[in-house]
Amino acid sequence: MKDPTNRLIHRTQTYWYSDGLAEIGFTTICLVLSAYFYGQATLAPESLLFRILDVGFLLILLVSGLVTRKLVGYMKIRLTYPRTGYVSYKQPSPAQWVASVALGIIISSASILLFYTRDNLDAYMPAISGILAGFVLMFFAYRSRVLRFLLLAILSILLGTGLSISGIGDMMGLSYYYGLMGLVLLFFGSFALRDYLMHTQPLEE
Amino acid sequence: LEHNHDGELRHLVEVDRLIHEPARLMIVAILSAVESAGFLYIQPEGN
Repeated sequence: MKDPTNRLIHRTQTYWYSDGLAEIGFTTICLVLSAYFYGQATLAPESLLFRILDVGFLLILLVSGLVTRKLVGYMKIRLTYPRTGYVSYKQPSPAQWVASVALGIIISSASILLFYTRDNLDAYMPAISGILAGFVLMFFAYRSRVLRFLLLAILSILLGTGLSISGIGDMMGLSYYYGLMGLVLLFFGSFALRDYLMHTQPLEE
Repeated sequence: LEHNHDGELRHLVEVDRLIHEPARLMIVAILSAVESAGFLYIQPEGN
């Protein structure tokens, strides 16, 4: 990575993460998931709200993902682009889209199958979530060479495993896991944003 | 050694001068990694 041309290409590829807004945006999804699992843990199974939550999981996830995307886009327009410029990334090819969707379906199906066929796995749900998210973050860190993703991966694994060991329960454990991960992401994102704002200035008219 | 040296020189002669002028190379490198980039992002590299 010493070659200046390769360094420049790498810096452009990781420009999206330079301001910490991606992590701050992802906090929203984590907090929504935390609230969702808190509802699952505390509401009576026969209540209407519990049933709505049960059926609407994918919709809640989709809407929070779309809101996060809009929010991050808006903040980039206000904060990042006037300071260090606009960059748009290449859209994944149809083959990449199909591969991503297929991988998502395989992981979700395997998780659901495990969850419903092995009763004793309930207590390990926070650990499984933490480890899965940790591996995704490690892959991110490897590809982007952004160190804070590696720290986030380690924290995710420790947090998920710790909550499982504490015996707090599956749904409440997941609620705590996503809530705490959301706060960790907010902390890391805010720190990166503060650093970015300190080292850049908006373009003067 | 002599042969290798000749080979390297031949490679240098084959370099596209239109692209490999440093500022242009930097701009082409940036644009190879993205769909599009604004002038403000590219400008510091071109200076």
